[in-house]
Amino acid sequence: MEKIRLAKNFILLSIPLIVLCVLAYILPMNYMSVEYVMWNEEFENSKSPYIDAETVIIGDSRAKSSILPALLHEDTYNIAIGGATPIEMYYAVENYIEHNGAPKNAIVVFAPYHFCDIDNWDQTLYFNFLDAKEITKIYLKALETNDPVVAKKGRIPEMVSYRLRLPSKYLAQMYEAKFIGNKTANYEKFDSIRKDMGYCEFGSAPGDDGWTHEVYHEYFDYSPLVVYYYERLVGLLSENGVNVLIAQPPINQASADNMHPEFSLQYEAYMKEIAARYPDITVVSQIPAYDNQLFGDSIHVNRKGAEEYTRELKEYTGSIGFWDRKS
Amino acid sequence: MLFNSVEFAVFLPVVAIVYFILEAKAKSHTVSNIWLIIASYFYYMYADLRYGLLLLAVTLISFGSGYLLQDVIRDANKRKSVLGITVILLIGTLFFFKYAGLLSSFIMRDDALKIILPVGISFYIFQSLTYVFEIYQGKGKTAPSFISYAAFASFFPVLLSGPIEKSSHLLPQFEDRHHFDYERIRHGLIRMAYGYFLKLVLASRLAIAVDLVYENYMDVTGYQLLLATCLYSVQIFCDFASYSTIAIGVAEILGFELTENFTQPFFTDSCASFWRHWHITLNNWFRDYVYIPLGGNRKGTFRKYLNIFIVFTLSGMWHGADITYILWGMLSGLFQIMEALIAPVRKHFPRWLKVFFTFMLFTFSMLLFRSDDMEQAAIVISKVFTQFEPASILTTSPFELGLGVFNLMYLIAGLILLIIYDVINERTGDAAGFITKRSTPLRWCIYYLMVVMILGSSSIGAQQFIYFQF
Repeated sequence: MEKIRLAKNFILLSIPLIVLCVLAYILPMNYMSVEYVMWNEEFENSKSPYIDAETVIIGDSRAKSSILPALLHEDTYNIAIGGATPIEMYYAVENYIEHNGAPKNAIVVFAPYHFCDIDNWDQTLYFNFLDAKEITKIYLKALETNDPVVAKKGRIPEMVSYRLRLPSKYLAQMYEAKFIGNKTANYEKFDSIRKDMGYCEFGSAPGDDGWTHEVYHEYFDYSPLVVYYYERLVGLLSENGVNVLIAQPPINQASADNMHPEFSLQYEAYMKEIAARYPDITVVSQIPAYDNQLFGDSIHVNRKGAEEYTRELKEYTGSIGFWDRKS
Repeated sequence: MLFNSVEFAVFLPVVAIVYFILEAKAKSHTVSNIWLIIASYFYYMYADLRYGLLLLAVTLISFGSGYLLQDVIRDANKRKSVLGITVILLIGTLFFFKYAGLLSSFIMRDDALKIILPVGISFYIFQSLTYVFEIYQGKGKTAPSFISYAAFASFFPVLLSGPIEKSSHLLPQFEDRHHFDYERIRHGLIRMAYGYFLKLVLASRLAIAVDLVYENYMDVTGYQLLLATCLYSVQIFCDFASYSTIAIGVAEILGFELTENFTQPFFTDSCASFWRHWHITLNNWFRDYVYIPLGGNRKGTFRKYLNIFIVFTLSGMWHGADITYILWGMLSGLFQIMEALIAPVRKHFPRWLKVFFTFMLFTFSMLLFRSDDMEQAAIVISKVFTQFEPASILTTSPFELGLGVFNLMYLIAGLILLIIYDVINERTGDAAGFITKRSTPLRWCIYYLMVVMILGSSSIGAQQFIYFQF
């Protein structure tokens, strides 16, 4: 009897906790930061037959901000995610194919440093972009590859906390947004991303001569976990008969002038290795350098830069007959 | 594993449920003690597997020593030798982990040893030593079995930050049966909730303000530094008392009674009294095993003062291998000696003034405790005296403390509740018991207030408890 009383009281006392967890679960667009919108947009894309585009752009924030689908080719959608590495994109594409079917063409664009640094894993968990099964698979692989970020000590309780939407993880943001304060801005952003066919501007400055992440790598110190998922991603597209182009996003001239040659050479060698392994895939291994004025911040091109890169990409794909290839 | 972690929220119910089942079903409580040992080692080794070996070694040494002192060796000199060897082994281990890195840095400079201090080592070594000392002094008996002793030496609620229990108090409790008792568990849960309240609502918020000022100590005024140090005094109380309170609550849930570690120290009106209410179990340890063996107050006034000074210097050394801790200990001892010297004058002061002086003297010593090194401490102290800038009292907005309006209001509300709780504790001796005797609606209002305030603070940051570093 006393045990039931204790259990009953415990449940009654847990009501505020349950309410906060439920609020965090059902209202993310109302309190999350604008960054979440992009992830949510992609989440919805990959889990529903909304897009069903002939061509998809796959990659990270550089892909998201560098390619304007409307200017590139008809029926193109940019499903890249800012802050994502090939790990998240592998599952995004897997889900996309499951719900939309395989696209005819795919352009894969990742920043070279994203092969080395998993710098946004906490954000991936925080946004609950991946489901429990996917996270578990990644965690197990991370243990196998001894990944210091994904398999760091204390990760399991952290993953559980994010899945349960515990207040310790979400309440600060809910306070900051006064629970529903970001709703309007987030939905506006969501609509704007959809209107631009998935394109999203990251930096809007009229120029930036800061250095990008790659400059700080003396050599191509890739993460075995990222490379594993990158190769799975390429393999997945190949298996599904997708016509694939792997392109490199631009970096600003300031970064290009200061990048370690060893890093560029080793990265290009890796890309050539991928090209050799998948003869049907077109791989551009050289990292293009653009004028600093075309960058909205030190990492991403601004809209003008995106127009320039999309134009060049359109010319290149046209010149190699990319769009005419049969998948 | 932190008390304020998701892991612990799973760990404790599992340990408690299995423990009560074993206590109810098993014929011997050895089984439930084995369960407690497993749980405690898991708890301790969760941070680092190697820690378990150290704990086991300390347990074996102290148990073996107790056995020799009680049952094998009768000769006084040989007993003294056994005690000496045990103290050298255990204190030597502690000294090695605390001081080897520092000493090697003097000798080898750049190639200094990088020794990681195993969390809780100062606490469980001191607790194990109480067992040896009590047997040596004839105040305690050997544990009935190694299992009971190992359960005592590794008891997870007290393992990382105390209270440092005496074997004569805690050890016999491992021979008792502890069954599910609703009232006791409820009382324990209230204690735990109050502990979480201290940590999450108060200490975590105070840390934001204190850290902000100390990180910018070169750019702030003496007044701001003093204000931050006053807040640090409250922060460290809330932080450390929270751990002790949660530990006491956890042990109570399991059926064990632990010694109170803090009893409203900021209500005391003298430094001597303050230390009888602050970190009580450590101060009792030093009193019983250092101060009294040195002669206590039995060998004249000078020796008494000297003994106080020695005890507090050692207490400073116990806290860490840093000159700031040692000086903090010395200063704490000196304040008590000075206080005793001016006692004839001091007795005419009103009580509120004495309480205020006590708090300010403690706060002043905390300047050393909070500073990262002597250079910072020297600058902070000199700023307090030479760049106080009283005008900044008027110009410094409390909102400049990095908390923002919401957190500042939350903090003030929390401090008011802390004072109310402490006043009830001072008057009744058991604020948790006081709450359980209120009418159901009032009681549930208090419960919900605590739950909501704790939940509302859960995102402030899962900071480690300050005393883990000792």
